[in-house]
Amino acid sequence: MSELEQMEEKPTQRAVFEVIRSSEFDPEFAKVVASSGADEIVQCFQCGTCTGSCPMGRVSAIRTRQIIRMAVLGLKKVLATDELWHCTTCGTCYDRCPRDLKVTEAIVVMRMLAVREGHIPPNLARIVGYVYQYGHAVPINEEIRNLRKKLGLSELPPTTHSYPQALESVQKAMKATSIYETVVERGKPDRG
Amino acid sequence: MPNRYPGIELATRIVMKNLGIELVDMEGASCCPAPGAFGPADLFTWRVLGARNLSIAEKKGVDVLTVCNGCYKTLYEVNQDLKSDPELRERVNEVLRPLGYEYNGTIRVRHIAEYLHRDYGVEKLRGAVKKPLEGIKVAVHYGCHLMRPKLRRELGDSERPHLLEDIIEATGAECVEYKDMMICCGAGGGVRSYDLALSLTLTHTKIKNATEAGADCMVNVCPFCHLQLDRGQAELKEQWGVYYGLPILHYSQLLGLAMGIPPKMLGFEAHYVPVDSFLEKLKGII
Amino acid sequence: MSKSGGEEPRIGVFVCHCGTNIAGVVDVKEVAEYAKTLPNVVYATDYVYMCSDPGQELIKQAIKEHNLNRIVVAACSPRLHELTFRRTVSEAGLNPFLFEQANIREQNSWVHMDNPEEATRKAKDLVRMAVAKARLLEPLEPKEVPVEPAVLVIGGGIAGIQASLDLANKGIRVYLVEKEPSIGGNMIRLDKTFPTLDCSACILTPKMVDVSRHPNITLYAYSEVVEVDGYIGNFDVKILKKPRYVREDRCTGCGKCAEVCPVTVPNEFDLGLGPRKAIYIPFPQAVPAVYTIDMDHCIKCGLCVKACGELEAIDFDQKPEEVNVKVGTIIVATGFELFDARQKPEYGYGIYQNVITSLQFERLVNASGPTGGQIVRPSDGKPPKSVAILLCVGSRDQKALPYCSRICCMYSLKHAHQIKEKIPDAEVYILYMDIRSFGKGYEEFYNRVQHEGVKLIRGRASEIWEDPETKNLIVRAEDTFLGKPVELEVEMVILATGVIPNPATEPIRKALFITQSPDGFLLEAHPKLNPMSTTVDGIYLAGMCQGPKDIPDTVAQASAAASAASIPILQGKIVIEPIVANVDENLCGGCGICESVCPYGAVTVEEVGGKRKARVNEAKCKGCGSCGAACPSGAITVLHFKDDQILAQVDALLTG
Repeated sequence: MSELEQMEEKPTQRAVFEVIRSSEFDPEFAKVVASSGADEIVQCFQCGTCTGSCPMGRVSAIRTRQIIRMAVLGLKKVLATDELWHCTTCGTCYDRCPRDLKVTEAIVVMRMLAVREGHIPPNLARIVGYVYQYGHAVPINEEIRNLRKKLGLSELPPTTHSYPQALESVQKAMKATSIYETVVERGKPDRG
Repeated sequence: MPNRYPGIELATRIVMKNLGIELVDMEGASCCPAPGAFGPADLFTWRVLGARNLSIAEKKGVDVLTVCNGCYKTLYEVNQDLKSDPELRERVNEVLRPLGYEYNGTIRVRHIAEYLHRDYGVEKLRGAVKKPLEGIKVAVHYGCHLMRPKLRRELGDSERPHLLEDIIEATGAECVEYKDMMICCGAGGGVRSYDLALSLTLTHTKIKNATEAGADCMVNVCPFCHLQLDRGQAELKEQWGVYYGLPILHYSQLLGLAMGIPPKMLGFEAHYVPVDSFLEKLKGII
Repeated sequence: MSKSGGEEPRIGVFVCHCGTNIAGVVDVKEVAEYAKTLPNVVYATDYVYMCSDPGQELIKQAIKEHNLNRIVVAACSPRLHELTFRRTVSEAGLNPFLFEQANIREQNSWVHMDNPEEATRKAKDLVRMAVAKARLLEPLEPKEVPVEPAVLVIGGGIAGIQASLDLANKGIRVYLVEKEPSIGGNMIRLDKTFPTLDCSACILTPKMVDVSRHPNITLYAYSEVVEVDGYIGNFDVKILKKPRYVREDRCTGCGKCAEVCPVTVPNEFDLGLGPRKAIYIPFPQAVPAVYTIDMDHCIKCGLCVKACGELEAIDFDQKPEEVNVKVGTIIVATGFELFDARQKPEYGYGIYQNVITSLQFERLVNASGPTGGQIVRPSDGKPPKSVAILLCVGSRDQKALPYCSRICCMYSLKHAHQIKEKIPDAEVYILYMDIRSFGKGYEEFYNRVQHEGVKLIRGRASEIWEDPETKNLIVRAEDTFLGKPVELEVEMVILATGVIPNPATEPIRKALFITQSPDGFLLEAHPKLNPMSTTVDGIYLAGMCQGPKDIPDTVAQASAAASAASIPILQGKIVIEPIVANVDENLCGGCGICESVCPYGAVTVEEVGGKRKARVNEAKCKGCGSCGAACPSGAITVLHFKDDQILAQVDALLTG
């Protein structure tokens, strides 16, 4: 919730204003964002087309322009925000940005950096876990197996569900990249 | 699609067969993987698994056809990235080669809507319709990743497109305009699983606006949007106590009806919002 | 008398410090000492500012004392001081072309600041190359050509009008060509002008009338320049007068024809907001006040012929007419067009009736416009009680026009003021990214408009949708100061569309061999010191064709262009630089490659004694060397850059 919204909700409560000091600007973070595929965001001139275009911005506190701003200034705390995960990656901002920034891609890059910092939303860990375990983000269930049979389709689709070796190759590929370490292992439910 | 709405799978298989288009299964394919729900975990892994899927089709010497916007985004963009960046392709192949896969960037990825519109042709499609769905008002749901980001697609303007309108109107149905037609269903980018209540706010906007515009159904081209728009209505009923009962159809299902395929073969029983009333409207036609 | 190049070369080398610009990096003394060791160099020295009076005096003294007949100055770029030093050696009695400049600043000390040793070595290389060429330099004699005392002005907007009047008032003949039926351009469409709010027509029409009455101005309206040949001082221009189907010499502009004309079409002049007849003048104060028949819509019913009566001005058989004129210089003033707002479909222009462009608003608010100056919205003809003005539609947009259109902030503030003036209780919003109110009195005007209660929202509009029932528009944006999305419901939207070069400029640009900058506007000779000239001698620029600008800047540039265009005419003759291409007819096979590569249209292949030979028009030739490089038989050389001179430089570089 933004400060202003807090003020609106409790008019008697004094909002906490903070000074953002240049010591919080982390040039390394800004560089990492740039080198991870969002190098052009420094050209942002803060027109707000993105926020104004954002369907989610009308119902949540996500402010696309401010996310980009924080990244440009190197304010790493952007990675710990809830709002970073509110973007549906619909790409409306990307299509309208007058500076031709790949806004949506920049947000996905920041999410990836958040994951590397250990901010792993449980749903992300679960989905990656499913892909590791089944090859599908949405694995099959009993009910659908029955429906498939009833419709005359193969009970299991001709995917990793039907080909264990193919599934094994998916798992090996995931083990060969950093995702197994960073997400599958760390994100296991028993580790919280 | 196969694991939640097998009706869409079956409808697609039958429709394409009737149109004379041979579909080849990509045996052993995995999740595309999901661009928003999986991608942020690690973009490189996302590309590796996407490339693995592409390599299955490449080995068979066929292009990829998707019936899902999410799969389209992943496979189309990974394909684009790997074709334009040989260094990235090599890094990806370094992971894949020991597993018996390799992707060389020789195939194209198309969405079924794009294929029917551009390759098959709207006129020909109209000719294949046996039971024109006259009098049916359709709210069009493009979903995001079919048209957007437009700079990474070749499907033209994303603000006021007419790709889906063209192929829907080929079935004889009429498209109705509704407010915020181009917004997201709410599910994308992992938001559905991250914060269901938040994702439903957008779903609610869409369903409400489409209902108010007098739509008989909403047609999509993405099983994930389909899930959000269909099951989302049940969730809205449960969580908000509002219910619109707007039937949700994948385009393959709509086209299937127009081509005279019996409704029982289109897997409507997996839908959360019953399509009975809608089928009732079609009684004189199908 | 100039000394000829026939005798043994005696070369003097002068190395400039340019303060510390060169000497701070390059060891200039060492370079001068090195120069002394080179063949034919009989004198070498260094000095702090070679271009200063004492520096030039030093060169002149050395020429006399050491009997020098070739001079090399190692200093800045020849673009800056080649002419200075040519004059210096000329004053000392040498042919000015027996001078060579080595660039050891821009191409050396400034780019190798971190590496003084290598820079010194490179300076020596450059001096050695210059000396090698100097040895082979030949004296050249500039030529003079007479100048035709007339000017062609292309475009009859405020820029062309101002330039024409300035020239005509100097006593110079002007041919003013305008493609539309009337002069006046875009300015005559405007209602009031910022920041002083003078009525645009009131200040422009007197000038238009002056143009039509001035004895030194020949106006060709509804005409186009189709061909230009020649060079500074001697341009041959072909003008095509399009048929109006109304005789200019007979039409009195009475308008009886239009009264009876049964065909009504949207008036382009009002940007479709109002009607005109198939026989029409675009607006009441048109100059010339001659009617034109739009043959695309005329049904040839003949009612106009009857109404015209004894004047017999209407002539359905009129044909296009060609006029040839000869001029000494040309001013291009072809103006601008608005960016097509349909390219931003998120704003719904062309789809939602009540979304209009800023120029359409000018017609709406104009007393002589289609509504008589009443601000009404197109859907229901009612005065809007709320209006949103969207800035930067197309401008400052990498997906459309990357540049700032420079006028939109101010005219939009003016529009806001005009709405407030005519509909005091209207709510007016301006959605902006930055307000650029940089001109005289502009910031004060901005302040005034704020005072009038206009609400400025700092955020670029994201999208517009229409309420289909009320035809009201909902504008979405972020108020970036609040950090919140906003939705504004308004009854009308004005899109402050950016400006683009007039598409009609392009064929003219090609005919004149002038260049454009990446933004599509015409390229000036120098962005600061020569913004009113092109790189082609004798062709000048005025107004928006060179880049977005407001009326004061346009008028200033037009007067500057008129002044520049009058210089060769007042001089009566021009001196042509002798560094031009030269054809050896014995070697020329007449293949024509040279003609196809020449960017200035200076080389043509002509029949000479039954054989095809290349001919160089020395006045048009810029000495660029493209033809010489492309010539397969080695028939073309560029004087002062002959093959042996260049090869001597290359040899000197490789054998240092």
